[in-house]
Amino acid sequence: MSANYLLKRADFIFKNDNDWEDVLKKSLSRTPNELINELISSELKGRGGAGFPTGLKWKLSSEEKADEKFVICNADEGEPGTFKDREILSRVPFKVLTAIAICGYVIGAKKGFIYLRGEYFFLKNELNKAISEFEFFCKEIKFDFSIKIFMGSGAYICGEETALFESMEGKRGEPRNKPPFPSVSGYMGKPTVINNVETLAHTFTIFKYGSKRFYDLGVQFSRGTKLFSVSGDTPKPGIYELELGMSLSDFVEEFGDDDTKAVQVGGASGFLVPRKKFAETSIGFQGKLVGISLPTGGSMMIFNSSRSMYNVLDNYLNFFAEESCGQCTPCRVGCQQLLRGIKAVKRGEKNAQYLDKLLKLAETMQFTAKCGLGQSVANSFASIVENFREEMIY
Amino acid sequence: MGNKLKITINGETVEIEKGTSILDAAKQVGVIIPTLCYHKDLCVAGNCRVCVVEIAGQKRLAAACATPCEEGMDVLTNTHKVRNSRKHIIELLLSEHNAECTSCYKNGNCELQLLASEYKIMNQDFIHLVPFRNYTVDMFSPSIIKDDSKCIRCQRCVRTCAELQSVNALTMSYKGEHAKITTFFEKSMNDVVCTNCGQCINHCPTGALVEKNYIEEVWNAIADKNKYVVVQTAPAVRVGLGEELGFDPGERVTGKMVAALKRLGFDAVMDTDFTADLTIMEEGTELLTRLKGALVDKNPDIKLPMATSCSPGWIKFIEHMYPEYLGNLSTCKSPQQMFGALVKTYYAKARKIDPDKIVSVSIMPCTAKKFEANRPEMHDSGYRDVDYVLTTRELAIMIKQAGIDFLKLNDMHFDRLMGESTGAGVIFGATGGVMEAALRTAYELVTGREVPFENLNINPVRGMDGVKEASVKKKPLPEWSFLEGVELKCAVAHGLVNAKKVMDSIKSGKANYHFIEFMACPGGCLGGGGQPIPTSPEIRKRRAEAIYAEDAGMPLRKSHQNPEIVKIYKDFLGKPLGEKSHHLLHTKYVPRKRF
Amino acid sequence: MNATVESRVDTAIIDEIISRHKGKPGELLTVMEEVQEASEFKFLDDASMEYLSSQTRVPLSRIYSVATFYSFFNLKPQGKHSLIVCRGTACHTKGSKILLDDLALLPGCKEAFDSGETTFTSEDKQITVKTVACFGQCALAPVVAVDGVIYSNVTSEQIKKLLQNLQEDNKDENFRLS
Repeated sequence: MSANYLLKRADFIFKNDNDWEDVLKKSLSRTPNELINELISSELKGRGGAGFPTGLKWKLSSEEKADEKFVICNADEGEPGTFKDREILSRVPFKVLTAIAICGYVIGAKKGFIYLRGEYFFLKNELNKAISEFEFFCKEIKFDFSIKIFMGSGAYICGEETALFESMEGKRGEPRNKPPFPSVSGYMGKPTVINNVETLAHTFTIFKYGSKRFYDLGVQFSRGTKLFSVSGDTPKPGIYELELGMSLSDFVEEFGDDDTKAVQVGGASGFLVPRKKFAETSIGFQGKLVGISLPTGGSMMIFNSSRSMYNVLDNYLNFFAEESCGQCTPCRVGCQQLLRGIKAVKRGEKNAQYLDKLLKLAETMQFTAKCGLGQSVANSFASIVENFREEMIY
Repeated sequence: MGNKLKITINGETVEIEKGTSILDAAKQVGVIIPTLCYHKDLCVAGNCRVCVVEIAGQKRLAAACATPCEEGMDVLTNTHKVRNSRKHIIELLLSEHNAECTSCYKNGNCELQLLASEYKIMNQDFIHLVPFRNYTVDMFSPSIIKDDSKCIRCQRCVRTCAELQSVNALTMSYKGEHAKITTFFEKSMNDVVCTNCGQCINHCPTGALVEKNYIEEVWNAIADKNKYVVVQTAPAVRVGLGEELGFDPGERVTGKMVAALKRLGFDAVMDTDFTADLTIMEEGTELLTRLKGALVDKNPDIKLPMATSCSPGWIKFIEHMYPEYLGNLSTCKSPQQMFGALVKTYYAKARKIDPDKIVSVSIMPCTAKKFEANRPEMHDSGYRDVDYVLTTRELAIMIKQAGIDFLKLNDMHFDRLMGESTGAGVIFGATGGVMEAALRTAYELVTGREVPFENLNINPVRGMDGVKEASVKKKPLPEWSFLEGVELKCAVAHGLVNAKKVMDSIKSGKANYHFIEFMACPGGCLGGGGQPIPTSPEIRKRRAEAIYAEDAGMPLRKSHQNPEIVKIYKDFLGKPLGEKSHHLLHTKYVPRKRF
Repeated sequence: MNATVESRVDTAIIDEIISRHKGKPGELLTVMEEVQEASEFKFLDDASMEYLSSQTRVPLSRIYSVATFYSFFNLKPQGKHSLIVCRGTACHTKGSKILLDDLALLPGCKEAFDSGETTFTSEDKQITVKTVACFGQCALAPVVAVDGVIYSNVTSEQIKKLLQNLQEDNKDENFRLS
């Protein structure tokens, strides 16, 4: 069943942001409830994590009673193959700052933070300049809000929201048990809205043009546009804003090199789609594939026939074995077993049936790991092993 | 409704308080959920994932220990998915665990082993990860052996060291596949702030942290015809030992323990309670002397409050963390070390034994006592005062090795000379006991009357509150007139996290106590790091009840009534704080690096 | 430039760093980063950590625990120059492993990485080679960073030249390659 949906480019995110003062003023003149309803009717879902409805997230935090609340922009873009947030922050920072402030207004927070990936240190100075200008304007219009940058220190797991809080509190970035959820108890134990950079940029679009403009893009359950970081075997690597709901065959037609063997959707924690399934796969929150609903989504890595899928999987598993925080058993030990397991099969030390045991293990990791990292290892593992089993063995 | 909510577990409805975890709710309906990283003494971690259960309508499983119940939740604990997942997790843990069970010190008392047995992990075909690691066993501490190859990263030790003891010697370092439990820069436990309290051992589910045992050394001494092997037993041992040998927690096995020690072949079986009584004489006198010095002579060098010095874990804690307060410590050695110094002097002389031939063994609820006996200061008899320290657990192992049917033993009495004690000595084993014993004697000494508490039971200092306070106002006898109108303020802290609270309040000037009892372990010695495993608040409560029952059953309940105490001062020591006491029974402390 | 690299950071500098961040939540990470930055060989030595702990009352084991968690903290002295190879998937598939192998020109380097290390410093403390999980520059793969400057589509020829320039302290030469 083909999605039959053509690739539609869009241009919202990177369009100039020099009207941010107006968007901020206009938004602050509306009630928090109006703004929440605007978001809810846009059906915007988180662009970085689990695809949680953004409007609902803001609503939940706004309903909490607390002496202090926080807004955090998650710019810990660590998913291999993803580089869209870097572009947003360097090209249209004011959209993000405005969105953080509007969120603060909605939920009743006076402080916002940008958790910036340590590797993006080169963005810090420009971003701080933008923040100064932004805060100055806030003061002028008598809106009490401040934004600070918190630099990450090089740990992939800190993209997980509760690990990010721990890190900001000066601790090891180890994910917390949920519940409680951030909307109730986040940074410093206070109600916190944490949104991905791109999600915040989309809220700017919605507050500027109204929810209908956004809702009319994309398809049912997957409204609006999305940034895709295209890399791998493609003649045109880069960042593209596309409407959600496209089919993967259309995507490959546009970006492939005529020899595309598979596409990894969603980075290391995403899914590998082999050529024979391109037509039936569409990119969105619903459907056969939930590619972009994975942590720091939007990564599209294209592999041509010269690439060994075993090498790709080996690379992912190395990554996970290193970057797991090490707290919970399924993730800490499971990643090592998957990694050593495929090596053993490749070397002939374990027979091919051992892959089935590993597939079951990956499923257990998905059911039992403490956080999204461990739960999502199964995605790439199962999709690669199931679709390229012979490459794993020979 | 209000604070109650209803959930179903395996189809059975249960009404529980809001905030109850699935794990606790399941217990109420008789459903057992296996756990590893969970411990009643500690905060919930949710790390091991062994306790996963299915919640109807959710694809992912939930950790029962870390998931609060929600109204209407439909929990399933025995589905195919749950069983398979748990089995997988146990297999994973075994794959990173050095499962040399038959040669492991914890064989038979290992929670991982038990789970592996329950879930019948027969086809362990995951790749064994231990050979890929560079594990070394840390044997440098005289108290604790740390073997990382047996660690399953549950972090119970890390939480114990931080939450119960605020020592923070152990921590989780690195991440992912390299994650491990280490000290600062992976130094030996002997070279960091570790107090040797052994609480990490009590809370470790596997054999990664165990006491350094001296069982063979003691067997060798017993077998040596040229040696005269004496043994002393600490108060808390008699209320814990039974748990290792078939009794429920809270059983007093004093008489059986003495009988067993005789059967093991010790030449004399004596009681640390005797030197506990002696401690009261020395420490009580020291307190009154300090009070006089401060109140009458206004001597600025006199340090108050005076802190007790029986607990070697506490001593090492203050040496590291508050070295500026070492002057506040009582100079009294612990009862174990007083005993050691006297066995090779007073006892040897009285019994006409060459002290060189005496091997002095002590049975302690404690692992820090191993370190204490090893301190260079502890050679005042001219020999090493205490040669070997065994924990309650090690004694139980010897009793089993000797083929002694403990349950069938007839009660026996301690040997005389340093075997007589009072109820005051016994209660040293519980938090508040030293304070209570001191007050029973000091009050009477100063006022000529018994402490004004029913049956001598000073209830304000009993119980499991972390910090307890009491104050006594006395109408003194004429020779103590300087205490007229003085309200003696006392405090009791157990568990080093509570010791820290009290010390910090002293440091900030908020507290003005005269006398404080500090015990390193939760519950005092009865909850010591050498006591039977498992431990829990409930078990410690039962042991405390046993201690107080032992005290209540003693004919003599005040240290100064102990006839052997009277005798030793008459025959040997002279008077409390006298020259001989000073030489044999008192000691010094050394400041150590805080971190 | 010999084995004695006991580069303990001046306590006055540590005091200044602590006081500047005092009271800010999460200050520990920032303070640790600045102390590392202040150290001559860009690493956290045990004496500096001990001092930091005594002044902040954060248990020493916790400082160590945090330092070992984040890849930005170094527990060993670092070289004068840094050369970081991205091993993200895009770079990996486009040959970053080969680039790493090319660094075998640096004695001991290949052996270190083959044995699972993620960082290597040359004996003369001239160069530290590291790998990083992903730079977020996947469109330019394979990517290498030299002293913070990103080089894209790097070839074996280039990385050898980059390395040689660092060894010869010819950093300016490198900029022409970027």
